[in-house]
Amino acid sequence: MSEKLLSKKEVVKGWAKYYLCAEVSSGFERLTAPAFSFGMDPVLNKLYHENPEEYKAALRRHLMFYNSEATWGSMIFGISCALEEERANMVKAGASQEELEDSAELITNLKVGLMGPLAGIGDSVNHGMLRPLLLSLFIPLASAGSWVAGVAPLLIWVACISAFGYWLVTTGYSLGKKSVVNILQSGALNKLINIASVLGLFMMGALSSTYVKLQTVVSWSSVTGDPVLLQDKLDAIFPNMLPLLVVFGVYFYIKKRGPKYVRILLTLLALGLVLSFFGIV
Amino acid sequence: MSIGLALTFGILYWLATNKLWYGALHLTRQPLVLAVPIGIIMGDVPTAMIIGAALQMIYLGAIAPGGTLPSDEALAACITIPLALQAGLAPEIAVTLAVPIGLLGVLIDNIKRTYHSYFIHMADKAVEENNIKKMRRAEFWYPLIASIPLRVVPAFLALLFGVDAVTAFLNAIPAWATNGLSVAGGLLPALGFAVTIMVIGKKRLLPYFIIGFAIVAYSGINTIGVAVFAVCIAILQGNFMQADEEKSALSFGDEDEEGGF
Repeated sequence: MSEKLLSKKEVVKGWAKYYLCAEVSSGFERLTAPAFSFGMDPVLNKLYHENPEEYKAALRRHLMFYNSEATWGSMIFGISCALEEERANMVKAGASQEELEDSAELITNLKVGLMGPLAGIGDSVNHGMLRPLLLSLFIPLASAGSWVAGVAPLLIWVACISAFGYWLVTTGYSLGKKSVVNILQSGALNKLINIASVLGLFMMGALSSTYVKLQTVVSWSSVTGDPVLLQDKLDAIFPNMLPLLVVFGVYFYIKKRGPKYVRILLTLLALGLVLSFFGIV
Repeated sequence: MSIGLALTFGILYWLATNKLWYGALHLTRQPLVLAVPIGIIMGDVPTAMIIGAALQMIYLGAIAPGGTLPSDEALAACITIPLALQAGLAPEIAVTLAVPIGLLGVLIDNIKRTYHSYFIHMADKAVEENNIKKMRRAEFWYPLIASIPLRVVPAFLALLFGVDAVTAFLNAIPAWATNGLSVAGGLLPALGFAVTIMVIGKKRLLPYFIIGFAIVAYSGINTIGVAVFAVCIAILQGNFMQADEEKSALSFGDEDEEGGF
């Protein structure tokens, strides 16, 4: 098949840079894109050092909007390395412009397709389940005044999560190497993205229900003089309906008006303050 | 508190929140973990751990979906634990101080995520100029260095002025504003969730989000329970898709992708 241009060590080294930087430079405009690009840079440099134009195009490609949970997203990093290696081989073999455009599109589609579902899974599994579980195990020990309760969870978490990320990047890379062609032809990638999307959306829904909070304290007196709480009435219709409305409100705003995060953030902040000022929440 | 001590805790707050190494950053910011160095510096580890445990309980389930923090537990820990140790406050009092401080801390993170737009444009420009070293600096070093004053200064000032000033400052904030910040803290995760739905970008599958939401809203089942339903339904969806495919081959890219804004 194709020539081997990357060693596993180089992939892992690039991943370590991505993993180090992941949230350091995250911003509202393109979320963690700079970290992805920062990690891909040594890999791309190795692959395209003979071809400055391709190198530049690849850097641009990986500076596009990217956001995922960085541990589960390590898999995307591994697959991206494999796909870029494939592309570098195509460039060397003198592939047509059309073939090269297809391969660039594939790399972008794959990142865009997998980053959301894996973020949903990663946020819910690692941060929604495992982290609170680990910390809660050590709280009794801390309440007894032991320093171990501060050191042990940190060491356990760093060791296990980093090892998991390492496993995902290497698995993603070899998976990408082995099945680039198969994945594309069989529609298996499409299927994988769909399954992961269902899982991600389902868990995001469940987490929203727990973590987005909005309750009204509005009440009035009934004819018998007992207080009637608006929140009880709302809960009778659909529990937690206000948080659901907020999530979808923000979602449709982003869809209609684009990712104006700062404006949304300030609006939510102002909403909290105004509703509180008028004694509604 | 002395200038040196206040500065030390300011630096500790930066160390806890510089976000280096994704596999560590969610733990270094936890009150339970921060209580150890704070206890060592203040010379009373057991009490620091007890206060840390009390703070940890409020922030136990706090996650940052899509990177949006609901509350800054690290700022709360780095200001409240040293002040409580110095003034001999009970853990329960420390907790009441911590909550508004944690809410104010959210602003710091969002300021940072706003000015990071500047660095990403710098990286874009560096790529066009073939200046790869500059691109690396804009992608990593500049954001890292810029966060030092942003993190150190607020914690340093709060600790320098001490527990009375912090209490006076917090008391000067009217009750409706504190409540409003807390309500906003409950609303902010909605942004993170909305971004993640957006990034998943499959409108057709949106009902799964509502199913997940409704199951928890009606039953109060825990996350692990939901995960069982989620995995089973995802597998079924995959199987149904395969059945569909056998009838008509699906081609990649016919989805309503909308994540790449």
